[in-house]
Amino acid sequence: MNSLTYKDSQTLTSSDIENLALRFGGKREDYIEIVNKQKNIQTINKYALLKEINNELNAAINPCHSE
Amino acid sequence: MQRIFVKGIKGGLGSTSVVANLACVLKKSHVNVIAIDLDPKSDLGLHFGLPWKSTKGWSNEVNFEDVLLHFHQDSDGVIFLPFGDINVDQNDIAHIVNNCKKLDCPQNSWFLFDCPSYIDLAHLPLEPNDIVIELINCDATCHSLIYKRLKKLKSTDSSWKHYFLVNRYNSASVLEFDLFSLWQSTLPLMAPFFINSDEVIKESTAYRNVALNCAPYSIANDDFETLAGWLVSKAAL
Repeated sequence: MNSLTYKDSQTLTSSDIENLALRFGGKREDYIEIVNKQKNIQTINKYALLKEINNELNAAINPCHSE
Repeated sequence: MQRIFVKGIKGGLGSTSVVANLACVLKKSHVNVIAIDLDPKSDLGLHFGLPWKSTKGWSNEVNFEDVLLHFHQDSDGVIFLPFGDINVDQNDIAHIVNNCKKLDCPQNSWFLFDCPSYIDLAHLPLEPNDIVIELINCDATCHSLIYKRLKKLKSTDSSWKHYFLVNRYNSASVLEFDLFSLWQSTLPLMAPFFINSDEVIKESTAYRNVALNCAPYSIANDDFETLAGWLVSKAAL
């Protein structure tokens, strides 16, 4: 894969991340942050306390979307 | 002069071991290191070979001139100041931190402060160039405490450089892997590495020493060398 495929989604697959890392020379916190959003959401949903904290943080940021 | 403050986000996270091992690694790199024990447990000296029966330290003195008598030097050349055995309040801790500036030491000296977990950072006389390392474990309690700390840092005027560092990372734990991966990609202020859980750290304390001297090729010592190099890079910013 020589060019990055545009996706109408915020989800990056592991393959996307590997390709980005190859293209940009690996993860460097100073100028690029590649986030596997899908995996993070899975992790948060896996653990009840993490989910609760995440919900509270989201509610504080977007009060109108809170339950 | 570079000042590093190491504290746990909760108790028992190993800040004393981190300070002792980091001090020796920095000293090996020809940095002038002065380690100050701000924790009433007063056990930093145990890592540097201070006799167990020695209980006195800076908290036993009123005047800073008398405190000078309690500085020791270990076999590696690290200078350290034990806490002592008198109860003090946070103002006394702030005073000793300030008074350490009066010490006549080389310009490139590093001060490492071993802070108790309960200390309120707002009570410390922190300056923009100071680095605060807050130790965390990869567990759910720390996850909760990190977000509370981030809220507090956001609401206060924290001008110092603040970082979270995972200590005692267990690579065999799924939960720890999940949390570390999540924190690395979502949290600001996370150090980009961790200190592995390694029996060497406990063993070296039992042998009255540090990982550098007991097991120089250990994972633990590698981790402390990584930490020292990273701090040098952060101090230069």
